[in-house]
Amino acid sequence: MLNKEQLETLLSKCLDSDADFAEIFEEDTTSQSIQMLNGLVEEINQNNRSGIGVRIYKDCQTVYGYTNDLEMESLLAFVSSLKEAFGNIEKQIPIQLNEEIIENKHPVLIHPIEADLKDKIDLLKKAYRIAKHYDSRIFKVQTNLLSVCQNVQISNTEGKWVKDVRIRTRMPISSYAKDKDQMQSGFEGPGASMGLEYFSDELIQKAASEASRVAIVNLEAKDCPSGKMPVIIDNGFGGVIFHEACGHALESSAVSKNQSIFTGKLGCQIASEKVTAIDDGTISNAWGSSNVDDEGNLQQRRVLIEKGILKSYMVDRLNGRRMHMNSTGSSRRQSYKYEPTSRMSNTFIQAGEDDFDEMFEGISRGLYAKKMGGGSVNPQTGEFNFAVNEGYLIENGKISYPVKGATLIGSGDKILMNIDRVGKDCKRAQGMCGASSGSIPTDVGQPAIRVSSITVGGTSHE
Amino acid sequence: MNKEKWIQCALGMGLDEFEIYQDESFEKGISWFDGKMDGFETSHITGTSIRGTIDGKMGSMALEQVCDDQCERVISQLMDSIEYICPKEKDHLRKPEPIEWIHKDINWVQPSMDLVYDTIQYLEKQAYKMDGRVIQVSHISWNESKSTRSIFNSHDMNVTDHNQLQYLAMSVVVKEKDEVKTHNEIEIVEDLNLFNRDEFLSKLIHKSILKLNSTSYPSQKMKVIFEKNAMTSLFSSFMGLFSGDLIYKGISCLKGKENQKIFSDLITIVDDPKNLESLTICCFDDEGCPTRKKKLVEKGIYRVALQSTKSASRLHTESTGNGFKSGYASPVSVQPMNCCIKPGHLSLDSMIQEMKDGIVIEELAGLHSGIDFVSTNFSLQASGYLVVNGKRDRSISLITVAGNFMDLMNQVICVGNDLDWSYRTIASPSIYFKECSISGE
Repeated sequence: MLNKEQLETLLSKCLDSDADFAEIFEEDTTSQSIQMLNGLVEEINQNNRSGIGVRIYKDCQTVYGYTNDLEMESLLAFVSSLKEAFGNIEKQIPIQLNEEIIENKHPVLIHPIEADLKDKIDLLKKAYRIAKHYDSRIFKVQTNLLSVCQNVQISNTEGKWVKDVRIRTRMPISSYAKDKDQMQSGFEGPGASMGLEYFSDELIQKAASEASRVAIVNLEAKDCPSGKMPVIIDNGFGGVIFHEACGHALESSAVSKNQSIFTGKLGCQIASEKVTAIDDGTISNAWGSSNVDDEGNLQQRRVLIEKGILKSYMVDRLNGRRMHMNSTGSSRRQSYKYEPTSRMSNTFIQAGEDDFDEMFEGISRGLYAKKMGGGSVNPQTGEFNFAVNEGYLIENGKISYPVKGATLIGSGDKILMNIDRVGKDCKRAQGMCGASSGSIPTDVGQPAIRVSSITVGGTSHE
Repeated sequence: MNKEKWIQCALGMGLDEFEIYQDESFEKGISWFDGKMDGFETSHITGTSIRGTIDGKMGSMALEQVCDDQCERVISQLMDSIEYICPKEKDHLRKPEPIEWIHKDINWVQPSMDLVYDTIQYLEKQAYKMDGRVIQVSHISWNESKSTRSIFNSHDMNVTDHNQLQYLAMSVVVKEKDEVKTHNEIEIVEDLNLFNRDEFLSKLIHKSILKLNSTSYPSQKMKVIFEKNAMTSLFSSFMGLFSGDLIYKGISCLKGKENQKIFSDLITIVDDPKNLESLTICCFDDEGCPTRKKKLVEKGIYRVALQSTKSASRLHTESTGNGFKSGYASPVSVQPMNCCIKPGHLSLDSMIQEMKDGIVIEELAGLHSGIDFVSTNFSLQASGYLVVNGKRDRSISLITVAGNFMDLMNQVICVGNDLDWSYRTIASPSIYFKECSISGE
């Protein structure tokens, strides 16, 4: 890592121009992936990534550069070429960095990179055995163990100098089931900002069985009917609906440029009054948490929507300038190779007061989406889509039979208003979110919710 | 990096084979928003990955800071990981083979910054002038990249090639009444001096305006044309069916179906990394294996799969030169390179006339989640337009198209002639299908 003097020299050099602010993000990251197929280790890959990203501001304009040539001479030349976009003025402003020591809210007991390879492989074998023996129709199980340790130091021309260590582990499990000519799969991917202690026997048992259970259910599923109908979306990964339909449109990267359906709506009702939504990057050991964001600001708990009223956007420094707002500690990026921007962390709809069983009452024909897949959104039009990985038809207030191949589509502003039930059991699940600053770990979450009407795309037209 | 030192060190420490893969890239991008420069991005990255084998077991690592003094420590780490790998077949690195070098005659002219700014400013101003319904030019950017990849190994392999790219990207937002639509276009630009700004802009604005006044559509099964962009998206999502790796793992439904009819006899699929019509030419893959042209499907009959060295060894066949990395740090996987559905003879307009009544799907969304590769089912958000009496009628949005890819590819009525490689390595012309499920209102 660069030392204090080197950082100060580089930051000062950045301001030898018309620029008014500069920031350096440096990282040294080790990641490891162990892939197992049917109980045998197929591949072990270890990556070491280290480099810096330099961002220089002039009002709301930025230049961003990144390199992994970390020789000081090369870095000085690199910074000189970058800041030239804002002219050459020999200001020689001295920069005095003051290191902020931050509290680590995400303690790790067993370092996932340093731990013995054999211990990690044993965890994968355990998951394999549980998934494979769940049902005789499970013919293949893929288990992976992903571990990452990201050391970062962030410094800027205001004197900020912060160091943080982000340690994460995840175990994606895919089960494949076959019956006659039909093949189906199921997936679970538990992860956390923790070490190997996260993978308790109970957690592995639950995740591996769940992956196989979904694959087996889908073997027996019929084609999903299509059309507009009420939909109950279960807790956990069901929260992807809020993440896509609303979360992305509340990121200041879209809001500041008037590219969101929620621009200018602070204080307005944008969701049913049953909805309170939070983005919380401070949850201890959660998958999407960190001590500081990627601009070195402390992570925060942000109340985005309270009883249907829009309370806050997720704001980073650059877009905060555009919007005349302070950063909410929401700046994130995949690595130094991405310019950071406002992103979600752990985003969820807070628990409500409705009974799960009562949600089914009065539905003559609807869909119970027990497990969601991923989705995507166009924040400008609000149009979104989500895949349903495990679904059941609801007929006359009761679960009828499993259905496959369903997608939910709609417009973000309308769906939020159509949430008419919010259950009591909020759960979070792990995912990767892709946007302009790369692919980052995020939690999604919610209790079970009911949407009074949404378009379900399926193949059955009965 | 003293490559010879690393190779000697690796062999001395007990590795049977050793490989060094390096990628060096320079990129520059300028983006523009609301009358001024929005961002300027530049980068210089060198990435190295190493692979080695012991008794047919292969390990790999990727590094960004390479220090010759640390080669023993790094190689020792690599050897530790190899100990735990349990391949069913022995893995090996490739020996050098004769490569047929093909060069694409393309003369990239690096523009001056003044020309870039002038072009971008012109496009932004004219977009608003061209149609009052353009409410925002949400993005314009100019991007340049150059890269060099090299592979060296203990079998004396030493191959290098270079790549270059320049492109312009632009997105606009259009609005009429309360309806907002967006559209973006990307154009590869060899010489910005020769770039036809007005033609590019007309195409962008025209396509975005056509999206307005859209409605959903009642759920039903109907005749469908997947226009070339939508068909390319769908085809790309199921390309893994032809991966030797997924066939070996039993996850691709093509396992055991060689020389059987899998698609309509109107479908022929060709993978040709040296196709001069496509943007990027690849004479060797990321393992140093020479690339070659293959027919994956011939008139509906499945002929061969794509193979890397590893997948080929598991299936007891030869690599097809399709072992590629997604980046220097990624492992080698089986990937297509310039793969297409062979075009037919009819234009899109002729197919629309022949269809008479139906729907044309122009865009698909949610491809990363709405595709179930294992069952080959898909259910995707879509938009396009209705065809009534052989003519374009109103625009359609917020619908889904759903079905089974294998079934759909057996319902082909006609394959269009509009294959467009532009910036792609996988492409399909427009295809007219007998029936597909549409869900909407």
